[in-house]
Amino acid sequence: MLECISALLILLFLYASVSKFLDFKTFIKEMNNQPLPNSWTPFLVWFIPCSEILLSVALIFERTRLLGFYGSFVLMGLFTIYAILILSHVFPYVPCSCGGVIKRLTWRQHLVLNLFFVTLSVVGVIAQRKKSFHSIVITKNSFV
Amino acid sequence: MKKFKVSILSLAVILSVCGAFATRPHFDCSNMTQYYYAGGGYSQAGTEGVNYVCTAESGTCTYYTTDGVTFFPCQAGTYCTANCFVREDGKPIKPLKPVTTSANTQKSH
Repeated sequence: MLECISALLILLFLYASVSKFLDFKTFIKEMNNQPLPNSWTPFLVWFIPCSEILLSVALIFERTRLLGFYGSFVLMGLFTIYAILILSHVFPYVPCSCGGVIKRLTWRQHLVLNLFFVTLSVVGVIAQRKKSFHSIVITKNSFV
Repeated sequence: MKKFKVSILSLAVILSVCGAFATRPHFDCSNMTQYYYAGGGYSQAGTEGVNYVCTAESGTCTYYTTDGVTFFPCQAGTYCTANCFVREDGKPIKPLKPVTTSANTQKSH
């Protein structure tokens, strides 16, 4: 089950990050189009795709998977909060929902997708912690 | 079992990278000069995010042209300049710079 959850998160993060790098100019424009200060753009256009790639790598390996699940929860949680703020009209305008084929989604659909992946990350954290706990218990028992 | 675990993760990596390449836009109209429609003609829109933004409302935000005569829809949404950034309380949130390029108004055909 853990590998399936990891695979789904890797699919999302790697697809999103590679799409951004393949069309980097458009990504910068889309980022400028968001209701955030434009001074954040140079930082965000590198931080978001790079963190998505790092999380994908962390989710591949058993040793770093728990860290990857925690990171996925934080990143998807932030995206979810952003989608909620946009849908609540906290910002002065509603920007386009951009990024690969995901741009075809409305903000409401975005929110549903994000909530699904946040839930998946939480399930991943719980399952991985349980697995790590069991392996520690088994290792301790084998020494006794 | 170990083979299955490795193959499912490898499949995810391959699918995501190939999917990103497959859905990569071949022609991106937003890299061309953008125009907006106003008062029966098309004017240069300026730089996105600096001079204008496209909001997620219905309609066409910007257009592009290849010959200066025919204009095609490019970005969806509504063309917004400085006024769109003003909240109901009248305080500007993110003021935009005015368009610095000379407004190149062209009539549509």
